[in-house]
Amino acid sequence: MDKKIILLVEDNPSDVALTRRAFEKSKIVNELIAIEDGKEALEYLQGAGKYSGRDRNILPIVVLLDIKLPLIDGITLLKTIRNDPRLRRLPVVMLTSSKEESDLAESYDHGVNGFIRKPVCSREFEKTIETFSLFWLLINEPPPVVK
Amino acid sequence: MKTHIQDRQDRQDRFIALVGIITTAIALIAMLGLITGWTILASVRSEYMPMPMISAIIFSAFGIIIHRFNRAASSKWVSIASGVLILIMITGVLLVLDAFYDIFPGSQASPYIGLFFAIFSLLCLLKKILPPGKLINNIISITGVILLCFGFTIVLAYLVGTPLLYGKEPVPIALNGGVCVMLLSLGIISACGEENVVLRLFAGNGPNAKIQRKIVPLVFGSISMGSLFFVNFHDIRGVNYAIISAGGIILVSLVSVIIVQSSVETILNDATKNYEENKLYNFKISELNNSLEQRVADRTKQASDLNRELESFSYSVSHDLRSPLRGIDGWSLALFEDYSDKLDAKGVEYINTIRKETQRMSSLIDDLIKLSHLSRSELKYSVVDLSKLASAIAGRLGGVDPARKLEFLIEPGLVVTGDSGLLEVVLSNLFENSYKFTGTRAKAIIEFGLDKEKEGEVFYVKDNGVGFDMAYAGKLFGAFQRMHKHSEYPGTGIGLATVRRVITLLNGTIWAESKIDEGATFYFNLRAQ
Repeated sequence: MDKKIILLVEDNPSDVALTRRAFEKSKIVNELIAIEDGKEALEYLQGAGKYSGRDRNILPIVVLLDIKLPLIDGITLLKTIRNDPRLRRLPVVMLTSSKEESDLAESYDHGVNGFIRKPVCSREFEKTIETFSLFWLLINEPPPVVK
Repeated sequence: MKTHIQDRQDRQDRFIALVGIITTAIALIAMLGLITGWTILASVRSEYMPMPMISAIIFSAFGIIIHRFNRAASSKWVSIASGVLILIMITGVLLVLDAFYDIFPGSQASPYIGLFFAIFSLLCLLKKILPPGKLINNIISITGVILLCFGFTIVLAYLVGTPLLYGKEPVPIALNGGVCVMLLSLGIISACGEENVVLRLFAGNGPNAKIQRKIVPLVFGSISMGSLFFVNFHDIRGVNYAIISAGGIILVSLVSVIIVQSSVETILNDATKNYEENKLYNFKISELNNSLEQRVADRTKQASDLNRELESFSYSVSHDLRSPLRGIDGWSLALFEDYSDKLDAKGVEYINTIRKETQRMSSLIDDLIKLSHLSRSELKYSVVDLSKLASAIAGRLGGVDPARKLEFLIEPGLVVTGDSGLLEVVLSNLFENSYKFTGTRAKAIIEFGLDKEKEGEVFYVKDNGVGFDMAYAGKLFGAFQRMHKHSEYPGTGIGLATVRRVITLLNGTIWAESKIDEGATFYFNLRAQ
C-alpha cells in the first residue's frame, strides 16, 4: 500500500517550510504535499487540470486547510469538498492563524473535522503537529472510499 | 455681517444726529438774523414773532447735545454736556419765573419755552445719568410725546393764525422755536431705543406699527394742511365760506377713506404674507424632516460600512500579522536547532531574545483584537452581582502564585445592571492590574467596594501597590500606554484601555487616583440603560 498522503493547502512558502519541518521532526514518514491555492487543491483532489493524470482514487488521509487562500478560500473549498459525492467523506482540518468566531462557526457548519489555530511559538506548533499526526495517522480510522 | 437689529439701530442713530443738526442749523440761522438785523431769519415771516437770542443759543446747544446723544462719548464730553444741561434747566426755570416776577426786563423769551427748556434738559440728564431701563425709557418717551404735541400746537397755531402769537402777553413762541421743539422731542423719543412704549407703536414690521406709520402722518398732515388752507383762503373775496367748509368735509372724508383703505390693505397684506410664510416654513420643515430621515439612513449605512471595514481590518490583523510572526519564531528556532554549534552563547541568547519579542508581539496582537472585539459585541443587560464576580476573580488570582501573600477585601452584595461578560472584563483587568503592581509588597491588599462618599454609585478597586504619578494620569487609559518599565512590570498596555472602552460602552466613566508608592484607586460608575 502507498504511503498515506497529507495534503497541506497553504499559500505562504515560509509556513509550508516550517510545517514540513515540524512534520519531519515528529518523525512522520508520510508524504506531505503542499499546494498553494484552493483552486489547484481542488484540481488535485478531483484529478483535473494539471493533475488530470493523477489517480483520483488515491485521496489524502487528511487535508490541512488554511482559510485565507488565493482564488478559492478555505471555507469555499471545504464546501465544495462536502458537496462533491466522491470527496464528501474526506477528513478536512483547518490550520489557520484565525481565531475569529465566525471562521470557527462556518467551518463546523460546513462539516470540518477539526480546527487548529497555529500557535506563534514554534515549539508549541511542533507539539501540535506531533499530536495531530499521531491522531490522524495512527489512532483515527479513515473513512471508506466512496465507490 | 450686520444684523437686522443693528441696521435699525444705525438708522435710529442717524435720525437722531440729523434732528440735532437741523435744530442747531435753525437756531444758528436765527442767531445770524438777530445779529445782522435781518430778523426774518429769526422770525420766518416779518409779522411773526422772532426767536429771541437766548432761545437760539439754548436750541443750538440742545441740537449739539442731541446730535451726539447716542454716540460713544468721552467722560469729559458727558460732564460738559451735563453741566450745560443743568445751566439750561436753571435758565428755563428762571424764564418761567420771569413771567411772574420780571427777572429779565425786556426779555423776549416765552415762559412756555422756558418750561420746555427745563423739562427737556431734565429728560436729557435723566437719560444720560440713569442706567437704561424700560421704565425710564417709557417715562422719557411719553414725556417726549407730550413735548412733541406742545411743539405741534405752536406750529399749528401759526398755521391757523392765532392772534396770540402776534406779540401778546405772555410772550408767545416763535414758529421756528416750535419746529425746534418738535425736532428735539422726536430726537429724545428715538434716543430711548426701539423698546420704548412710543416707538414700539411705530417701529418694526408688525401690522400695528405699519398702520400707525400711515395714520399718524396722514392725520397730522391733513390737519396742518387743512389749517393752512383755511387761514389762507377763508377771507378771499368771492369765495363762499360754505363751499370751503364743504370742501373741507370732503377732504377730511377722502383722507379718512384713504386711511381706512390703506390700513385694511396693510392688514390683509400682512395676513397673506404670514400665511404664505407659514406655508413656506411648513414646506421647509417637512423637507428638512425628509432629508433628516435620509441623512439618518445614510449615516447608519456609513456606520455599518465602517463597522464592516473595521471588522475586516481586525480580521486581517489577527490573521496576517500573526503569520509572519510565526515565521520569525519558526526560523529563529530552526537557526538555533540547526546551527547552534556554529553560534556562541551570545548568539544563542540573541535568538532567545528574538523569540521572546515575537511572543510579546503576539500577545499585543491578541490584546488588540480583544479590544476591537469589545466594540463590536452587542450588549446584553442583566442583573450582575459584582461582589461575586470580584470574589471569583480574586480566587483565580490567588491560585496563580502560591508564594505571594494576598488579601482581598470585597464588599458583599454589590449588584448592578449591566453586561456580565463586559463587567467581568472590567473587574478582572482592574484586579490583574492591582495584582501586578502589588508584586513587590510583602502583603498585597486589594479592595473592591462602593464609595459612599462619592456622589452616585461609584465603585472602586484599591491596592497598596507602587502607584503612579498623577501627572501622567491622562495617559493611563490610552492604548499601549505604559506607566512602568517593561523590565519591572511586563504588559502590553492594553488592559486599562480595554477597561475604559468597556466602561464607555456601558455609559459609565472611569478615573484613577494615586500617589507614587502609596497604591492606586480606580473609580468607576455605570449608568445602566
